[in-house]
Amino acid sequence: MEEQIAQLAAQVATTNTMFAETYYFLSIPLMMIIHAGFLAYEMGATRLKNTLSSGIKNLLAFAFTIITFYFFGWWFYWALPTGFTGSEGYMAISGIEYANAIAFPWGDSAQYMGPNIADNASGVFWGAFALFAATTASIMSGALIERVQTVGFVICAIVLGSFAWVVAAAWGWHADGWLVTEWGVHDFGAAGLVHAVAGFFALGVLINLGPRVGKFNADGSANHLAGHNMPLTVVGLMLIIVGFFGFLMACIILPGEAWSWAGTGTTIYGTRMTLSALAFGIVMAVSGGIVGAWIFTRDPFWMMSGALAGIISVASGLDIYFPSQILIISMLAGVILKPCADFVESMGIDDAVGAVTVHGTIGIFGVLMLGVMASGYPALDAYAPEGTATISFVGQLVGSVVFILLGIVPGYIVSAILKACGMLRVPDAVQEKGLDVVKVPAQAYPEGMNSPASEDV
Amino acid sequence: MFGFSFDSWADVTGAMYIGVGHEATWTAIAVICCIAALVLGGKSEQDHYNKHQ
Repeated sequence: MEEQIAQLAAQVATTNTMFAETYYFLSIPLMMIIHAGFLAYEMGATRLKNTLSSGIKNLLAFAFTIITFYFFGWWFYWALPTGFTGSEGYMAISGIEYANAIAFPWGDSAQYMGPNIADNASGVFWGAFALFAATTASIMSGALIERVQTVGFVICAIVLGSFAWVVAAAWGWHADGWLVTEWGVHDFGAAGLVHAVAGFFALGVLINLGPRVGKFNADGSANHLAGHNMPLTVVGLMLIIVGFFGFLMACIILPGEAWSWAGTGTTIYGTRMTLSALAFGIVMAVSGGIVGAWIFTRDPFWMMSGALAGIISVASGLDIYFPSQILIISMLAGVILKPCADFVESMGIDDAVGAVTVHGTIGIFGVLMLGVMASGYPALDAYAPEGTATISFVGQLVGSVVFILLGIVPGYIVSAILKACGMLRVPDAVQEKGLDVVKVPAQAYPEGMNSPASEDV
Repeated sequence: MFGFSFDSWADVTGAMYIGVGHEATWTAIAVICCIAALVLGGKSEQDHYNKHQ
């Protein structure tokens, strides 16, 4: 009897481990859909003469971010939760020593960075985080289209995707993160540490990059440089929404494993949550954002951007918001979206797809709204060290300031260096001619856009 | 560097990839490849800009 129970327990453990591994593994291709969306969205929002070069830039952002996240980004996440000192935190899953033991692709830690018969977790966790990193870098990509040099942009993407947001995640998205333990920061779905960091990083780059040729007139007024394919852009945005389900499902820690927090599903902070919470929240947020943006714009581009903004506006608290609250907040995000984008443009910033607003401004709006709505919630679960902060508006405000700085400062610095090296901006003469004809050995639409009329009538 | 590092699959209890113990060498080569790709890509890009100005 005891032997049978032991066999059964072993089978249950194996099944649980395989389920957890499969769960995170499947979140990865779902997140790849985000990149299919970014690719379509960005190319559609580009004028015809630059279509393929925008696609190339987008693909390289993904590729180099994944690669560098493997080489060093993963290490930063585990090394820095308690700050730049790299000391070990209360949970003993952070600090330079810990990161050296699990997150380098060489030495003893390499066993956790490749095929290992005794490790079903590291690869799928790394894969999900690598896709978070690639998503963060791709957020910046659209803002810079039609005038950023490819390699200069790739360097910006590496700094953002494998360093800047990783530091934000270590500080605010880790049970040992100092923003969590000391300030009670709660950002379940990464509104601040992914979206705001990426949006403000893009702003830092845009300041040095300058506008596209022809964007602004001599009197400072702006021209609308419409992309060549609105349907492609809108479908791309919808694909990003689809991919968000993968992004957010990967934010849950499943129960029953050695690395789990409790007997239930939890957030990355160990606080209780369910997939059902996400099911309620995501679709309500998408709907609220669409409706909010439709009220004043009636423009499908801004309506789908509103859907994205809707999710981002509630992402910090998708684990605990009531759906009606989500509807109100996401609708508000949709309403303020276009005026915020207009304000950015009025400051002489040429953000081609509104990334600074959708991700930066709305990301911060979302982090702060949770401070208003959820004050008093424990930031960590029962195992937390005594004196751990609770969620508060002040804590969310501190987190917001940190996220903004982690975005705009490295974005500005790296782009200033690239500018000084002549590696940031495409020469104006090349912009006027078109980037595709200058540097892409392929043609976007070799047969044009007009199909012949049917003779079968 | 290459091939099976064990006597049999029964001996495999942890890392089982090709080149166990030589990870640093493989990683260094991979890093160099990426840096070379960026350098060559950057040079090609600048050449195209210069040609069309």
